[in-house]
Amino acid sequence: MPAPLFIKYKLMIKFLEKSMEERIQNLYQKLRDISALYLIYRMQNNVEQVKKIIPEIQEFVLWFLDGNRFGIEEGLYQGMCQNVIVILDDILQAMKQEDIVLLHDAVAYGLMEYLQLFVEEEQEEGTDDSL
Amino acid sequence: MTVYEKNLKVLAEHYPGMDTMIEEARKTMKPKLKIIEETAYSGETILKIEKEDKAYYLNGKRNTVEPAQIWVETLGELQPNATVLMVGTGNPSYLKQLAEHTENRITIIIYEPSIQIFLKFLEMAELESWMKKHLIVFWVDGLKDMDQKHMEGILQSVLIYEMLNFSKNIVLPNYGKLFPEETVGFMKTCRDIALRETMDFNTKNVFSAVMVKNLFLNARYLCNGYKTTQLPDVIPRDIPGILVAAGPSLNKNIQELKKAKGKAFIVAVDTAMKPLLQAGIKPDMYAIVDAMKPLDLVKIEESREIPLLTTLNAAPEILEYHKGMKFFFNEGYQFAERIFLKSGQKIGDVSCGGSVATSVFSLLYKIGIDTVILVGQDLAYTDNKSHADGTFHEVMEQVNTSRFRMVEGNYEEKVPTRNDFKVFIDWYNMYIEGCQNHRKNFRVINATEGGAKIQNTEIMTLREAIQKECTKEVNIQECLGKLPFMLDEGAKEWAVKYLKGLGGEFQKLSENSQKIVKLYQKLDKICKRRMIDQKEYLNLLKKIERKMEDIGKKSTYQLVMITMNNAQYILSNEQFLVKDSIREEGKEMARKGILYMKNVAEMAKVFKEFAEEIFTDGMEEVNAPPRDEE
Repeated sequence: MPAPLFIKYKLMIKFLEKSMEERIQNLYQKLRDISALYLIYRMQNNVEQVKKIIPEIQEFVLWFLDGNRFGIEEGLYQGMCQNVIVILDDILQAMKQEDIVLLHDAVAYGLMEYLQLFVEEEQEEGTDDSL
Repeated sequence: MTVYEKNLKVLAEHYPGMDTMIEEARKTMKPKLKIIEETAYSGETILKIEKEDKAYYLNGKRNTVEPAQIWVETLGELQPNATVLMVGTGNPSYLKQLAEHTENRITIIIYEPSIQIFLKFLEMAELESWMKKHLIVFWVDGLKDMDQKHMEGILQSVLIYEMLNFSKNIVLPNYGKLFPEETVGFMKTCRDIALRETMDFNTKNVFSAVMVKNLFLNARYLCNGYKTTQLPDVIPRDIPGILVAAGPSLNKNIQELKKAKGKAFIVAVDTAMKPLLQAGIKPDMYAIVDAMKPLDLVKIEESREIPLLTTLNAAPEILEYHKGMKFFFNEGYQFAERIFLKSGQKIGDVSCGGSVATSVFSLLYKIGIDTVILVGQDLAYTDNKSHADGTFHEVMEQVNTSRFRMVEGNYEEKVPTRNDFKVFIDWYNMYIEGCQNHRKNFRVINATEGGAKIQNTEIMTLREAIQKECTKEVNIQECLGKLPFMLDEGAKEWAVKYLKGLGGEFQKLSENSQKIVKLYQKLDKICKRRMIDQKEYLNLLKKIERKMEDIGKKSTYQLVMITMNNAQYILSNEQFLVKDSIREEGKEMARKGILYMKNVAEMAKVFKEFAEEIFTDGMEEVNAPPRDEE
């Protein structure tokens, strides 16, 4: 006997959410690497690197803007939405101007803070003594 | 008082007159950039620069501190006197983090390509405490006499070999985009100086082992030699000097040189001798300065009697093969200087510049010749070859130059060159400018017909240069024939005796070095005691210092030092590392001192035997000379 329609719908949502979580994790890692290369090794090519993942950034921003499903207080959520638009605008502006300072600033101290809300911090190797 | 006014005052205290220079520039400058001041989320002022159709932030609006903070963390602990080279002042966070979080006193050289940004920086950052703590030098384009060209002197004084390992640099983000030429120019200048320092060190290292042997073997020729300072007495100034180098373009115009014979003073480099003589051209003089040049390069019967410009360090096999007049110059070797002094001839050197050709060029200038014609001085891989055919091989191999660095050419837009050639190009650029400032009618004609461009030279073909400049007959052989030996009979006898006595002087040096080893061993003992007697410690240090000063005056010690370039590097490099206590410092001093002085003693023993062997045969004993070592 086929499952009722509403159960199917719920499963799909759950599947999509899980997939989004992985994509956010993936995006976060990519941006973290780009920022680290910029900060530590003073690599000047963050514009080229970020350009490659712009669709992923846009996908995340659109996903975030697509309604408050996060249990955040509504006023705060609206403020966060306005801020993420400013961040995206700075990223696009930096790409256009090839401005590595603005790009790093918008990515590392803007977008990544949002991504961090959905990313579990990796546990450092060897820190769990009980194992 | 505003921040700007306070900063001017601080700068004037450190660099008198700098405040006036800044104020003058402020009044007269023509803005080239649009500087927009914005406020970061933290409330700090940050700069955004508009240039042409682009805009660049110099600091982030969300986080003004972390990028600079992480940069300083990645530098690690900076040693005292370490140099940090920085391009840009538009984001003061970097200087702030560096100055405030570096404990040791360091040297910070900051190059700012825009006076406009520098003026804004002076409004934003308070310099007083940073300048008290560190030596900070600002070099700003747009301030009087401050440009990249004059910057070399300052960089040379900080980028010394021993400190290169400790040097750090940073170009502030977006400066590479805002000021691409200036940034690359500055970094290239730094790189070239570092390269020169490294090359100089490596050259010394490679040659040091053979140098002293060469010095001793060649010193014998001083007794029957000549000095370059005798040349102006016989070589007319109103004829051109022709420098024949061995670059690949020499093959193009070598035959033309026949027309210049008897109308110019033709001096060739050693490597050019074979192609010249094979073409039937006998230069008036040739030069060798290289300690390891193979005899094969000049082993051709006609070369043996041609007067030779040489150094005490040159390959002794060539000097032995050569039977004609040998010209020396003051090189700073103390033992040889005593012989030169005895000659009564004027003091005079030849600037080295790093290659035999640059030495010849300097000689021509220094003996008073007003027009120098360069031939075969490619300093580049013309037709993808390093040297002319007939030099090292009958036909020189073509090499793949696709990954070589490119420089401006005489006839082509860009030509491939290598790092050592580039150093020589820079030397010529600097030296010729200096010569022309000093002697207004000094001209250099580059008749190489290929190769790299040298600034302040007139480019023409050799045929044209000879037609225009070689207009007066001269017999150089006859001119040189008039010269007496550098040393008269009495001075020669003295020199022979002096050289023979060098073995004994090395013996004394060895003994004195052993005594210093014992003093260092005593220092080590003192430092290992539970309580250090500070008076005893300091007295011992003074004693060691006095003894070191004594042996430092000996000409024999200088010769030992030459061969100990590596040891010298280790010691001078480590002197910048600071230890935590007197005990640790004393122990470290003792460890290095024992190691070093044992080396000196051993080396002096080897040289004693060497000197006795070389200076015993074939040197007549006459009267006893006074010794400098007593």
